[in-house]
Order: sequence, then structure tokens, then C-alpha cells
Amino acid sequence: MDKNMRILVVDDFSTMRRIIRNLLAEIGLENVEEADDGETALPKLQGGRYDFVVTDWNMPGMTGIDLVRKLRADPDLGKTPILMVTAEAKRDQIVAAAEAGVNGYIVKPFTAKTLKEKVDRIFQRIEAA
Amino acid sequence: MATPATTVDENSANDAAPASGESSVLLGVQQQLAKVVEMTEEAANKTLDTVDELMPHVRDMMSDSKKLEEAWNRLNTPELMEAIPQPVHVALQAFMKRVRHRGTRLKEGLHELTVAQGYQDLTGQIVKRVVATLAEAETQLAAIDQQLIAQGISFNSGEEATGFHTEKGGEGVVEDQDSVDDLLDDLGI
Repeated sequence: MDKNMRILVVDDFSTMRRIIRNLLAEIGLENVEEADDGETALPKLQGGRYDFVVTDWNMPGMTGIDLVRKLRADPDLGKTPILMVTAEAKRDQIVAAAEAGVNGYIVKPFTAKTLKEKVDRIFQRIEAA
Repeated sequence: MATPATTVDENSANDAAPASGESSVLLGVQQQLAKVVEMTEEAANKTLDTVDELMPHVRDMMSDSKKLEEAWNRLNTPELMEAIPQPVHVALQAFMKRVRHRGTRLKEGLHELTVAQGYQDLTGQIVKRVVATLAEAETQLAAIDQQLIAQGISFNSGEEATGFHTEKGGEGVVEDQDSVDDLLDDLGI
């Protein structure tokens, strides 16, 4: 896993963006930018090379699941690893997120350990592929 | 560094016309709920500011102690052992060990404080949904009110409230992160 990879954290709550940013920094991932929903995230992602996206689901404007679908449909961004971090905990939603193409799914509230494990797992799988 | 507080549907709360007693009550409730989100966000950011301020001190303390321990181990010759009284020697080594262990626990505790601030996001999402539901109810009540007034009938509230589920263990809701992981494994992710 490249510790200098460029990461976009998408969440409408600044507190949660800050928490995720702090926890990513703790595992050595400090090249982090933020967006407050899918609508602001998408042009950022289309305009610059990001290596990893961490997104919430429930946001005003464009939701996280719509952002995932748009990214997966984009030939340039289709393979960007995506971790969904959300309070949505219904089986149907997790299945929908998996079908949309997320690489990992964390239910809030979560621990620093869970975030680290999921990030490690996503990049181990990508590197092994 | 404090971040500006998020506004919660303030437009819907402020733009609604207080046409009737019911709608002005709903407007007041929406504004109070928006204030709750603002206050919890300020409190969460204050905690995160404190964590950001303390974490470098903990790291520096642990790093300085490690350097001191390494230097001490290099100097720890039999001659020095004889020159330094035994109680001082023992106390110094115990102190350096304590700094290492307690520093690790302090770092863990600061991480726990960071993650715990996620309550602001979770409660904020619930409040946002309540505010949206209230705004919708207010619009519907205003429309009903107008219809009843047009028909010369006095308003009589009896609508059933709508709601949403976020509780664990609800229908179709997974129990914990392990259940999420099992489900994702089944889906090949």
C-alpha cells in the first residue's frame, strides 16, 4: 500500500470527515482531501487522480451509492477502490452497495482497528490481483 | 482548529410560513433540533481540537523517553552501575518503562475519544431525518388547513406520524460489523 496515495473522504458531516482523516493519518495515510457529498466529490474525482475513496451513503445532493455507481460507470474512474462508511446497516443496503461495486463496507459506529483492517484488506486484495 | 458548524435544513426551517399555530410549533421544533446539531458539532470539534493538541505531546514524550532509554542502555556499564546508587538506577528504569506503557495507553485513549465523536454524525443524521419529516408534515398540514378553511371547517389534527428505523436488530438490519463482513464474504468482497 502506497502511503502517499491520494484519498478523498466524502461525508456531509465535517465531524466524521475529521475523524476519518485523523484515523487515516494514524495509519500513515496523510494525503487526504474532503468533499461533503457526491455532487462535490464527482468533479474532484474526475479532475484529479485519486487512489482511494472513502464515502458515506446518506448525504444530501448525490448519495454515496449514486457516487459509487457513477464512478463504476466511468471508464477512467471505474477501478478506483471505494470504502463505504455508513450508518446504513440493512442487509439489502449492504448487498446493493456490493452490487454497485464497493470494495469494503463499514457500519458506523466503528473503531480505529476496523478502519485499519478494512483499508489493509482492500489494498492486499488489489495487490494480490 | 474548529470547523464551522453544519446547518441542518435551516432553509426549510426558516422559509416556512408560520401560517397556523401547528406550523409555528413545528417551525420552532425544527429550529431547536437544528440548534442541537450545531451544539453537538461544536462540542465534538472542541474534543477533536483537544485530541489534536495533546497527541503530538504524547508522541514527543514517548519518542524522548525511547531515546533516553536507548542512551541509558548504551551507558549502562558495570562502572556506571557502581557509580549510580541502586535505587536511582531502578527508579530510572522503572520510570522509562512506565512512560512507554502509559504513553501507549494515552495514545489509545485519544484514538478512542476521536472515534467516539462519531456520535455527532449518527445523532445528527437522525435529527436531520426528523427535521425533514417535520417539514413535510408542516407542508401537508398547511395544505389541509387551507382546504378546511376553504370549506369552512375547523382544523382537527389526527394524522399518524411517520417515522424511520435506525435501531439495531430491526427487520433486515445486521447486528454488527462481523455480520457485515460475513455478508460481504458471501458476496465475494
